[in-house]
Amino acid sequence: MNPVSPRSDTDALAPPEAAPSGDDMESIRDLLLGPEKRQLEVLQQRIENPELHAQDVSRVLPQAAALASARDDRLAVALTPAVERALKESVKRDPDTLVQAIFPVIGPAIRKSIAEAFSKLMLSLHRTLEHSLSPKGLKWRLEALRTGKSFAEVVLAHTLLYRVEQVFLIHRQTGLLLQHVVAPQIQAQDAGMVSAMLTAIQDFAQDSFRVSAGEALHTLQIGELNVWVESGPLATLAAVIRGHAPYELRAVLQGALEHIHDEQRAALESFDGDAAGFELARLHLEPCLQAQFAEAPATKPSARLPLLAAVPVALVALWLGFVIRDRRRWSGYLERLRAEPGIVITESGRRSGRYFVAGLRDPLALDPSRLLPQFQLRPEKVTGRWEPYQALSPELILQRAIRLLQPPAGVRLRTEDGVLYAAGRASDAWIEGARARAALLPGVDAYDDRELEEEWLAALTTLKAKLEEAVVFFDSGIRLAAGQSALPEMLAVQIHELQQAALRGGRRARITIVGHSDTTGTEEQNLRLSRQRAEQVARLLSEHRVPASWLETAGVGAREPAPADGPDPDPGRQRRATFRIVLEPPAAP
Amino acid sequence: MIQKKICMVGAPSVGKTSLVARYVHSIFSEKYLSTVGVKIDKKTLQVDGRDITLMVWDLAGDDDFQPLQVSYLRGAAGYLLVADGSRRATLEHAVELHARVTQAVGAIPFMLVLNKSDLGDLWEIEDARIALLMAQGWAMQRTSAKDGTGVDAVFEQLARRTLAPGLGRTRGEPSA
Repeated sequence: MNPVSPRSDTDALAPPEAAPSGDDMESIRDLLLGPEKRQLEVLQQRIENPELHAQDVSRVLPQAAALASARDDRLAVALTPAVERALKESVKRDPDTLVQAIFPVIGPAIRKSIAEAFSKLMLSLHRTLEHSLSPKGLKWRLEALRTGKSFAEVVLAHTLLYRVEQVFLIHRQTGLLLQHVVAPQIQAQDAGMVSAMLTAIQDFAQDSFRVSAGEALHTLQIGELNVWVESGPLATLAAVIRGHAPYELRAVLQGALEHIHDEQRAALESFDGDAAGFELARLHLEPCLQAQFAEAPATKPSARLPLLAAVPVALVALWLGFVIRDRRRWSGYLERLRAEPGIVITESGRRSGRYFVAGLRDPLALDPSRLLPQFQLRPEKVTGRWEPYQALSPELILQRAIRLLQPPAGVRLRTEDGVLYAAGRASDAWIEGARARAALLPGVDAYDDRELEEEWLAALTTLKAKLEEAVVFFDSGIRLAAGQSALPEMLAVQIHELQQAALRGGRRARITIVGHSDTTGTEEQNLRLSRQRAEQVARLLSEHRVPASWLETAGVGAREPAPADGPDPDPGRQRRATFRIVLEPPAAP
Repeated sequence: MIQKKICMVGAPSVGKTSLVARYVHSIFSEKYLSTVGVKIDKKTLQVDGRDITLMVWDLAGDDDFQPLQVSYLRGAAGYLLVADGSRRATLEHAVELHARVTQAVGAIPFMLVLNKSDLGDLWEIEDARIALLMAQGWAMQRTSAKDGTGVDAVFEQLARRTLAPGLGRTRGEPSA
């Protein structure tokens, strides 16, 4: 490099005074731009020399690709055609390379796809078996019985839209089997023979119906089974399909056949009976084993499923529990009502959330609504409709008798075998009324009041006893002893009561006043005195409106002495009058 | 496993089906013969230590009502030309069929099978006629589907010939 003087530099920038020659210009250019020119030359050489340029680009390419990819998709779009061509070229050159490269990816993918299809099938079966007691399930069971198929087969037939069960890859020329794939759980016949027979049928159809060479049998249909046949120039693909597959499946089959032709053209052309080389074709055949179910469940059952299922189950169980409890209470109530006298249930049940009970009820029977609390039933939940009637149960007959006869406190009523018994003590008026009314009581065949004592008779007995105990004492003569002035009036009242009571019973009391004397004096004197004493009492009583006709008098002297009341008897106790009463039966009319 | 397609060809009632029935695995009924005109059977055997599966296409007997469908022979690696030893006409029929087959699928390995060898007294075919055919390169085997004589051997020989190189490939032959 030449040294450049500052002066020349200045000169070069100054306007030229005179035009320099060409050599001078070159020298000046060298002086001025020499280093830059050499650098440019090196750069130009690097660009023009592909080897050097490639080295340069290779240094920045990874980074540039990374940057471009991060920025947007343009690089990917730009590379796609090239990559596609590269792949095609690779396949054309040696399909095995690419197949081997992607085999680890495709293999698991196919297995996964098959496993999923299979698990869907199992799930569907599982669900159906689970619900095999549903009406649909029972219908299918009946169908299984009718047709002799297994239940699983019937379920499959109803839930399966279609399923590719087998795929045959057949050598077109010889009809020999190249490859065969079968869906899980499918029992396949000898694939080699089926393959040959399919080819024979193809040939048969072509020969029999004189179709052109390019045309071939596309579909065989046998009941629910379809055989779809796709023919390529070297191989035929036949798919055995149960159900009705969508037309898109054709494209899948065609695609598989095309790929096999592309990849194994040479092997197909030179096929000499050895199918070992067609193992790789499985990669294209297995994806053809497609299936679709009508009742494909949206989700797989998870571990939470039992728990989730338990909630409605628990709710249903709870509800059932309430229902059962209510039913039990209701039936308990009805049972209790049935046992209740005077209640006859003719209809009972449940309508629009309410219980109802209807029947006959004796007005004297228990009010049915009063039993509800005992059975924990709410009155607003129960409707009762009762028609009145007269019950003839002993309890109700008795109740009705009590209600009608209204027995006084001393009377007890009971019924036995249609007989109403009355016992105790009652007024004759009540007794007579009861006799009249008891005959009218429904359910009472007879009325028995023999154990019923009339009040008058009891009163009469009491009054008789009382009067017979009474004693009127006298002095030595016929004057009443001191302190007895009120006695005659009291006795007169008693006698009136006695006579009234006797009269009520239709009887007559014969009252005899018996006079007594002490032993002083002669018997004759004593008899006279005692008679006078009785007459005196009668006279005193008559002063108190005791009719003389009611009274008789007698004197017994000292013949009926009063019992001694001590070791030193008072003779005054013998000077007395007593009453003797005889009740005479009713006077004959 | 090597597979080969072979065909049974012959006049009606020469015993083609009986020959096959005795020794093969079959899943299809004989109804196919009268309907589709062919019945497929399979026979696996060992030839020189190699397993070979013969897919046996039993073709319906050729007659006026059901002429031989040569398209069934397409892709065959060989065939058995079956005649009834007790009926001379069936041999001539076989010769004629051989011509038709060769025209349709080209020269492929075959064997002449003279069946019903058990009917000794009724044998109609002269040795001279057989010698003439053998002179033309035909391979021949006497069999009896009834007692099994020669049946295994005839399949084995044909299988060997289909495996042998240089006896012609079926591939690429015109079908009609």
